[in-house]
Amino acid sequence: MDLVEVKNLTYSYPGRDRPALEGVDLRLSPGEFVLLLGSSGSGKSTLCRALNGLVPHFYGGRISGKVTVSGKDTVLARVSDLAGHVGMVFQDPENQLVTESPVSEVAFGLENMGLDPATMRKRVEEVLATLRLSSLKEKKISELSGGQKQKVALASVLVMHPEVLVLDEPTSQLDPISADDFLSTLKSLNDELGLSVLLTEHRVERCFHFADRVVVLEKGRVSFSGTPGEMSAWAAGKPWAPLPPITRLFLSMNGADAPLTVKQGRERIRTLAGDARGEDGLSVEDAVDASRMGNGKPGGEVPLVKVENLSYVYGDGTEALKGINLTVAPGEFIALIGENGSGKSTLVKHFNGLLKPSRGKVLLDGKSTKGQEVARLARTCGMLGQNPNNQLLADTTAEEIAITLEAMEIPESSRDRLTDRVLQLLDLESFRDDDPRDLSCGERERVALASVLVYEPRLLVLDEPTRGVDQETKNRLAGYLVEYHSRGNAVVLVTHDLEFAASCCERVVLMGDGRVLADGDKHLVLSESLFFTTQFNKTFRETAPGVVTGEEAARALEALS
Amino acid sequence: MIPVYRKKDTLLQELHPATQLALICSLLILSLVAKNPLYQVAVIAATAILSASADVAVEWWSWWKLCLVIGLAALIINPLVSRMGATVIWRGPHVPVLGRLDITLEAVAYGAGMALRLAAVIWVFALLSLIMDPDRALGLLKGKGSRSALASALALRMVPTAMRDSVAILDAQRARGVAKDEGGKLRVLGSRFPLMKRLVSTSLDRGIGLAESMESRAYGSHRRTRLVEFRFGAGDVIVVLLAGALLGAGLVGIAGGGAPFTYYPSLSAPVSMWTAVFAALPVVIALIILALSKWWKRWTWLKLRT
Repeated sequence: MDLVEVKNLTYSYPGRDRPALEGVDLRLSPGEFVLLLGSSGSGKSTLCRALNGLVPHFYGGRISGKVTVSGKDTVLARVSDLAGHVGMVFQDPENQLVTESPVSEVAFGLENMGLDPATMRKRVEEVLATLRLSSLKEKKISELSGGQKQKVALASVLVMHPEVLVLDEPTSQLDPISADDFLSTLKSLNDELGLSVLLTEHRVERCFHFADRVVVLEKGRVSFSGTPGEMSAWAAGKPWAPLPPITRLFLSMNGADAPLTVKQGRERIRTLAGDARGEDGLSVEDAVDASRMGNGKPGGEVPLVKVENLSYVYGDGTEALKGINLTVAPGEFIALIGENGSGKSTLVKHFNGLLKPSRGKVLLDGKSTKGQEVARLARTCGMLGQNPNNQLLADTTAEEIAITLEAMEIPESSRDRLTDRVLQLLDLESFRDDDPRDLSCGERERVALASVLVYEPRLLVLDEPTRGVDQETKNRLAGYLVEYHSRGNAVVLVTHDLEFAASCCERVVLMGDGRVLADGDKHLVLSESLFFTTQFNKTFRETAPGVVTGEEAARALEALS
Repeated sequence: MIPVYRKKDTLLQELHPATQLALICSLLILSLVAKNPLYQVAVIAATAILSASADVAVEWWSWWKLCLVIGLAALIINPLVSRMGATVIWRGPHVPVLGRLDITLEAVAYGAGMALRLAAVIWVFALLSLIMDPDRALGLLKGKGSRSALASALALRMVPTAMRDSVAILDAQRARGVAKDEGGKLRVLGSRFPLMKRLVSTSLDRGIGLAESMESRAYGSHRRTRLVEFRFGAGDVIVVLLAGALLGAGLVGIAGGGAPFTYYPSLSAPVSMWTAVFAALPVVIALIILALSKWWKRWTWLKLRT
């Protein structure tokens, strides 16, 4: 018998004409791991919330069809009554933790269920030990990292012994290492405890191979349901379909039976390389343009940004930067990579004066940032932070752009022209009069970007622009940035998304512990790193070590085939 | 930043929440009912000693700015609005609404006494926030009280998050030139006012997220039980007795005229041996608790619970 059964589910949010879900059918068997994929706004979060009754009980709206979990109709049962059957983990750990101590947080659901203290103590200790959280018992929630908070959130639902775990993009706010750790934990819970899992995730390469079944939602409808292998065959010829980069690469070259993991891809390459040995043909090294493998550092031009011996200490005593030296030349495209807390964001906040050096100096366009107003420095250095929502103040997209133009004191005569141009550049013309807060995540990201690009700063800094966005949005963003860069502007990208960085950037700066660990051409920096490199590089490391981008990997594969 | 509770291995933090409340209430009641400013000074000194015994003296002292601002306000406003007191020390002009501005010595003294009382109350609450775990406070309350406590705990937890959000929003707007840093306070404040809208909407979004999370974890479905079982220990018994002695002796002393003090119509503060005894009591009891805190680490029987 199926644990979860969704039959012909159609649901519309209050005040919306278009249904968020339309005729959805879904089944989840005991112990099954289902990966739910789809672009932003496709209905993934709504479907997750329908499984534990938040839709429609919490949100209201119109619903038809039927959702049953462990035989209970979610429309008839209360959300709180379903809590013992469905455990739900949300995107942002900050928005789901109620108390200030990990132990109280984990016990919160059990206390709500009215369990006796002895049972609660046993369950809490057990789940903390299982998720390796026991050492955090005495800590405060606010002292935990994002990954630890999300694990506490997982523990707080796991302790209620649910039969199904539903996770709505649980790693979207985490760095790659924390995300991998979280997903591995999830997989072991599925393997060892036989817990059914429904997971939504944008970075499919992290979990595609975990899934027993993949379900794809498109505009509120199920467009595919099958095994990961079947999914890769189905996705052939559909460039928007979410697939791991390595699967997509082989799919475009060989058709069916594409590898799903780096390991499988490497084995396939090894076999191809063995077959190709001794034959005439294109050398795999040709895949990488050797002329581009210079040091990647700017030449004699006057740098746009010059950082000299920069150190920065936060108010709580954390030494975030330790003697950084760096230059950004006009027209460069740089990716700043490194683990959380390595100092990437702290460094770029010095470019536009949001932070002032504790020691050393930062020159923007030849002038020290010290004593200069951020608003003035922003004319040269535009910056888009991690959360586009923080950027949005106005009630329409056009007004949002107008706010920037006014702040930058752009002459009124040019404002309409600039607004039209940026709306066209970012495909936002149809949203001109829409409230940005009503747009999807990817569309909001574009509005926030437009509010910076409109005055065309010579240096554009983006902090984690691809966090929590779908592949389609990412592809579009890459296109806009490459176009912006091609007009002679410099771009600095702070990112954990190495595939994205490699596809856009020329130079990569690897940071760690407040220092620059490596700086140079992306091929050199990424191919010399064991972990901080792309899936393509990991796959081709033995045969073509310089390969870091999808295009290069495709050329290398062609040479081997 | 407002200092918040941080777990430390000290007697005051490990006490039963009811014991903590008893001690705090005795200090609070004394600071509110006693007219003699010596009492307020004694309560502040006792609170300082207790914060040292709980290893939170630095955090406790960081509230001095708030005490100073509110105390100064009382000190300035009372002489301006009060028309009582026999000793005029400055005859001012006639002001519409307020009338003639005659400043009296008694009104100034009353303002100073009020400032001390406000400072004592603030510092007592500061001590409470530093020794009482909000989650344990939540566990102490049942029924409707637990809902209020939960709301308070949530608000407390969301303060650092809201502060982080406000910094992120401000940075985003400074980075696009919307929020200004120069050009006078009015320009700076004016440019930041529209950001409140975004902060409110972010906080509302977070609130909805929390509500979803709570409902998904069966909040409101049953009568809540609690994981932590509070038990009294020997340390609790001693501290409750000391708090009772402090309050009892203080109230008896005040009611019996042991520490008289009159502000109006003219200042009168007769000093007797009993004044010194009653005023010294909070400090002595705080010192006993300080000593107890030192022994508590070694005398394990003090940690035993029923």
